[in-house]
Amino acid sequence: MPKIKTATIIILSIFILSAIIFFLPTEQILSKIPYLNQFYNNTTVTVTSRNSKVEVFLGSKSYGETPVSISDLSPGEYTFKLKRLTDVSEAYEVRYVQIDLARNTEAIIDLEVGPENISAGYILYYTKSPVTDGKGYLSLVSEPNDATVYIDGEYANKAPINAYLTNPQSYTIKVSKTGYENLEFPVIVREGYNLNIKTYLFPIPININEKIDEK
Amino acid sequence: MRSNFSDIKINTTVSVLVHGGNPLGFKLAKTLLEQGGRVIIVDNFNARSRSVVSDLKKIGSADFIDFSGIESLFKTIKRIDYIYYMLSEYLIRQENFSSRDFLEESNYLNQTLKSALKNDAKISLITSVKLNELLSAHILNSNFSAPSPYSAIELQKYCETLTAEYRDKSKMNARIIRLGTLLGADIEDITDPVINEMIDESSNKGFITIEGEGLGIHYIVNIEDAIYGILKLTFHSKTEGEVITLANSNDYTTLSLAYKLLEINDEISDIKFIQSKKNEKYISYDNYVPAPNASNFGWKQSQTLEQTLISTIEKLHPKTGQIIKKKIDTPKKSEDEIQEVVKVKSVKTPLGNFIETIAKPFSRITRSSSNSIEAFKRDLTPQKAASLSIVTFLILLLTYFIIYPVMTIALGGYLTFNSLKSAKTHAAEFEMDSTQKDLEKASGYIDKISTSFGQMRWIFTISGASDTYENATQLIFASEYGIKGAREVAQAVEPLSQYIQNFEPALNFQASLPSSSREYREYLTSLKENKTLLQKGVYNLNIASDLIGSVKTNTFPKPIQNYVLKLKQYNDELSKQILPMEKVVTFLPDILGIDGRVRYLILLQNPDELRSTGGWLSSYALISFEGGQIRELKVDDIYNLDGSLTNEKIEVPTSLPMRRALGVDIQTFSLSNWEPDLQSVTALNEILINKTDPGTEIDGTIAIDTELLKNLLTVWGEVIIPGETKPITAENLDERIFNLHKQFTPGESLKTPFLANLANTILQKVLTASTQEYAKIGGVLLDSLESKSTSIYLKNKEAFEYLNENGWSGTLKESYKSAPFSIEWNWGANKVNSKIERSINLNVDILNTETIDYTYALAIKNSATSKVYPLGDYTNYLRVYLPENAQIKSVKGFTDTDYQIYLENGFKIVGGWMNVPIQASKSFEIKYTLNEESSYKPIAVNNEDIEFNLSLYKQPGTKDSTLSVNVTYPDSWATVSNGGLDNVLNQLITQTKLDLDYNYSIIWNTK
Repeated sequence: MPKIKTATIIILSIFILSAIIFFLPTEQILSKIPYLNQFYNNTTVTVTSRNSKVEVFLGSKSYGETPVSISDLSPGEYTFKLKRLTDVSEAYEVRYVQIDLARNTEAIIDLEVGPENISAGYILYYTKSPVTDGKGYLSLVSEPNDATVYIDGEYANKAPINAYLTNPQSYTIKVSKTGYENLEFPVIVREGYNLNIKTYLFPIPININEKIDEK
Repeated sequence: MRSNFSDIKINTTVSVLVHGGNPLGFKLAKTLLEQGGRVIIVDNFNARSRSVVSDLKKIGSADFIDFSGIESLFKTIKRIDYIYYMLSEYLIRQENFSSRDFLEESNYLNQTLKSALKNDAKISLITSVKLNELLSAHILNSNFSAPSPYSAIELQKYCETLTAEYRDKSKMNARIIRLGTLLGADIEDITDPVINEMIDESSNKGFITIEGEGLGIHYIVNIEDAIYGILKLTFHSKTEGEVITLANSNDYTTLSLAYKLLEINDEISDIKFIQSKKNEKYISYDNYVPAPNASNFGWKQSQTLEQTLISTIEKLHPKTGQIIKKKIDTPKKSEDEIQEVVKVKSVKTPLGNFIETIAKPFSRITRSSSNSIEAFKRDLTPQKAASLSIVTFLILLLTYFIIYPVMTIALGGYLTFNSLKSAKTHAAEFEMDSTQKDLEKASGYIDKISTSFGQMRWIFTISGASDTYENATQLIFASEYGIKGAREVAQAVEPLSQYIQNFEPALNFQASLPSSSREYREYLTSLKENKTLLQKGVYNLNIASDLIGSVKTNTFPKPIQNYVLKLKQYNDELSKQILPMEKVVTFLPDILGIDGRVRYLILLQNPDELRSTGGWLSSYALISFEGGQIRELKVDDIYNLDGSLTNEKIEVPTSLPMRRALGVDIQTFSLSNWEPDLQSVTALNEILINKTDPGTEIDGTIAIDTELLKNLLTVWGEVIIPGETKPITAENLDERIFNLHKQFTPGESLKTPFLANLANTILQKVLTASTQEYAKIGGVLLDSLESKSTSIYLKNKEAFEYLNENGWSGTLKESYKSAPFSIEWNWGANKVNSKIERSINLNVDILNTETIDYTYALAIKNSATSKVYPLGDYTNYLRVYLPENAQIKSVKGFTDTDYQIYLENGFKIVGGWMNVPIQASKSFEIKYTLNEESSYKPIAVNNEDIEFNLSLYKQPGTKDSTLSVNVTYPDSWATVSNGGLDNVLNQLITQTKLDLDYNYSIIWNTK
C-alpha cells in the first residue's frame, strides 16, 4: 500500500508539474536568465537600401543610416520603419516592414524606398517549420503578383510560392515579370525553417521618346 | 595510572579531556583514539568507569588521570594539541555545590587554560545550553528566584567568563560550546527532566503528560552528533573566540516531541495536558535566544529526531524499544489514523480546533514530508541510492519524452480547440479584440504542442511511422501559421469590423435628406495603416493553406483521417473568405471616400436582351461616399436620363463603328454600353452626366444585372417591397420587371419607385445581415463577379488593379488579345437571350515562338418558338475582337457577308450582323495569324522556357456557352506546365462551359 501511495503521489506530482510547466512562459523566462539568454536573444537583422540612404527605426528607436545591423534580438514579431533620407522627403512615404524573427536566425531587409510608394528589393526572414525528410521550406511573395520565380536558373513557379519543400543549401533566386526589372539574390534554405521571401520589383520606366517615334 | 608524557611522538596529536569520565567523554576519547591520537582523560573515576577504561586502552594510547594529578600532568606534559573541558555533563547533574567544590573547579579550569596557553593548544569549554537558558530566565524574569551562588548555573557562568577573559587577554584559541540535552544510544540518563518524564511515561504508562500548552523549546542533540560537533567546532578555524550552541537547529517543542513519540510508539494512547506546576525544573524561557548554532560552522545532524528518540528509548527502556523496532519493520500507521488519535485524545479549545482544521492539510504535508525525509535518510544505503537514481532518471526520461508531451498535446489540443471556438464566435460578432485574444492564446498553446510533438518523434521512428509523424508535424505547423495569420488579420481588420458595426447610413434610396452627419474616417484611417499587418497575416494564412493542402491524409490512423479532412476543408473555406481581404482592405478606405467625396454610377442591366456589357440598360443609380458615410443616393429609370438629354437638347454624336452598325447618330444613356469595356462606358457616361449636371465626376461604374438581384433574394427567400401586393422572390422578379417594362413610357415614374424600394430593402437587409447571411451575400457577390453578372470598374488605381487581376473590372485587358472573343448586341427589341445557345471552337496552332495561327468558330442557335415579345428573332450585331496586328485570313458567317473591320483600343475588330431567326442556327468562323510583325506577342521566351498565357473572355450576360480549345505546339517543345489543359501528344485540349473567364498559363521547354 505505501508503494502504491508513493507511486500515486509521484504520478500526480508529475502531472501537476507538467501542467504548471505547460502554462509557464518558459521561453520568456529562459530568455531573461543571464548567460542562458544568449541562446535565445541571438537573432540579427541586417538592413541595407539600394541606391539610397534610409534611416532605420525599430519602435521609436533610431538605429541610424543604412547599412544597419541589429543583433541580439529575441525571437518575436518586429516592425521596422524605413525613412528615406532625401531633400524631397514629401515624395517618399515611410515604409513599414513587418517580419518574424526565429531563434538563431538572421533576417535581411534590402530595399530601395522609392517615390510614389514604389519599393524595390527583397526581405528575407526565417520562421520555424516542420522537418520533412531533412528538407527546408521556401515561401515567396512578390509585388507585383504573378512574377515568375527561378531557383538556380530553373523555373520554379509563379509568385506567390508557399512552403516550397527543398534541400537545405544555398540558392540563387531570380524573380522576373514583363515591365519590371529582374531581381536576383542569394538565399540559404535551412532545415527546420521556412525561408520567407518578399520581393518588390521595380517597374521599368517607359521611354516617352521611343513611344513617340513608334507612332 | 601514571604515564610518561615526555615521550610523545611529534606526529601524534595529544588531546586532554577534562571531566571526560562520562559517556560523552569516553565516546569522544574513543573517536580521537581511533584517529590515532593520544588521549588523556582527567576525572574522578569510579568503578563503572573501569570497563570503559579497559576498552579505550585496547583501542589506543589512552591515559586516565585523577583530578589530584592534573597539576602534575600540565607540568610534565611536553605537548598538548587539544583540550576539551567537558563541564556540561558534570554540572547538569548537580544542582548545588559547596564553596570548596566551586573553588576547586575554578582552579582546575584556571590550570587548564594556562596549560592551553602554554602549549598553544586549542581549547573547547563545553557547557550546557539548559543551564544558560536558566541563567537567562533568572536574569531577565523577576518571577524566578535568584540562583544559589554555588549553583551549577553560577559555576557555568563563572567558567565561561573566565575562559572568555583568557581569550580576550591572550588571544588563545578558545571557544565555548554550549551543548544541548544528550540523547541517543550511548547515554546513561536524560538530563532534561521534561523529556525524561515524557519518555518514561510513554514507555511505562502508555500516555504522555504535558504541563501547560507544551510550547517550551528543547535543545537536544544526539550523542553521535554531539561528538562530531565538538570535534568539528574545535578544529574549525572560525570558531575561535565564539560561543556556539551545539544542539538541534529546529525548535522542538514539548508538544512536537510528544507527537513524535506518539507517532513512533503505538502503545501511547493519550496525551494529557495538565496545569503547569511552575517548577523551575520545567522552565523553558520563551524569550531565550541561544548562541549561534553549530550548523553555522558546517555542523550537520546525521541523526533524525525519530532515530534519536528510538535509540534513546531502546537504551533506557529496552522492552518498549523492541516493540517500536518491530513496528518500524511493519507498515506505519497512516497519517490520517495518527491525526485521528490526536484529534480524539487531545483536548483543545474551539479556536484551537478551528486552526487545526485549516492547518491540517499543510501540517500533514510538512509532517509527512519531514517524516519521509527522515525515514528516507535512515534507510538509505548505497545500493538503494543507486536504484533510486536510476528510477529517478527513468522517471525524468518518461516525463520528458512521454508524459509531458502527451499531457501537453491533450491539454493544449483541448484548450486550442476551445480558444478557436471562442475566436470564431467573437469574430462572428465582429468582436475583433476578443478574437485576437483568443487567437493569441491558441497560438501559445499550439506552440507548446509543436514542441511536445517533437519530443515524441522517437515513438514514431521506432514504430516505423515516420510518415505519420512528418504529416502530423506539418499539420501542427500549418495550424501555427494559420492561427498566427488569423490573429494578424483579425488585428488588421478590427477597424473594418468597427466600421461595419457602427455604420448607419445617413441616406436611403427613398429619403433625400440626410438623417446623420456622422463620418467614419477614423476607422478608415486605421484600416489603411494596418495594410502591412494584413499582408503579413494573409501571407501566413497562405503558407498554412499550402502546408495543410500537402498533408497526406492516408498516413494518419483511420479514426483521425476524417478530422484531418475536415480541417483541410475548413482551411479551404477560411482561405477563400480571408485571402481576398488583403487587397480589398488596401483600397477600401479610398473608395469609401477617406480623402473626399467619391461618386459611383450603378447600371442595372437586363441580360435577357444581350448588350455589350451584359444587357439592356434599364435603370441607373448614383451613390456617393465621403468619410465612409453615404452622402448621395439616387435611383432612376435610364430613359428619364435620356429624356433630360433630349429636353436640354444635348447631342453627343455616337462613335463611327456604332453609327455604321446601328445607324444611331446621337448618343443616349440607354445605349452607352455599346463598348464592351466598362472603362469606356464610364468615360462616356461621365461626359453625358456632365452635360446634364456639369461638374459631376464619376469615380467608377458598377454594372449589375437582374441575375445578381435574384441571387441576393435567395439569401432571404423573399422581401416585402412597399407598394407591392405580394412579396418579391427570385422566381417572380423577372415577371415583375417585365411587366414594368411593358407598361413603361418615358417620363413615367412607375418603374423607379419599385426599383428604389427594392434597392432600399436589399440595402437594409445587407446592413442588418447576420454573420451567416454575410457569408451567403459574400458568396453571391463573388459568384456574380466570376460569372460577370456584376462588373466593377473603379478609377482608384489599386482597386482597379485588384478587380482587373481577378477579371471583375469589366475592362478589356491586354491578356484578352491572346485569343479572339466575340461581343453580341441584340438589336431586336426582345428578350430572347435565354433561348440562345452558343458553341465556341478555338484552335490555336503555334508554329514557332513568333507565328501562331488562330481559328475561331462560333455557332449560335435560337431555340425560341415564337416571334411574340419577349421572344423573337435574334437580331445580333456581332463583333469579334482580335489583336491589332492580326493578319486576317478568312471571315465567314456574317449576314450578307457584310462586315466592317476597324481598330479600337489596341484591338482589331471585325463587326457585322449575324442574325438568327427563331428555330434556326448560324455559324461564324474567322482565321488569322500573329507573326513576327505583330506588336502583341502572346508568347514570352525566357532562356529555354516558353510561356504562353491563353486568356479566354466571356461576354457578360451570356450563359453556358460550350467551349472547345485546342492548342497545337511544335513537337520539339516539352510541356513543363499545361496550365490545366489536357496534354495529348503535341496538343493541349479542353472542353468546358464558358461560364467565366479562363486563363491557361502554359510553359514549354525547348531543351
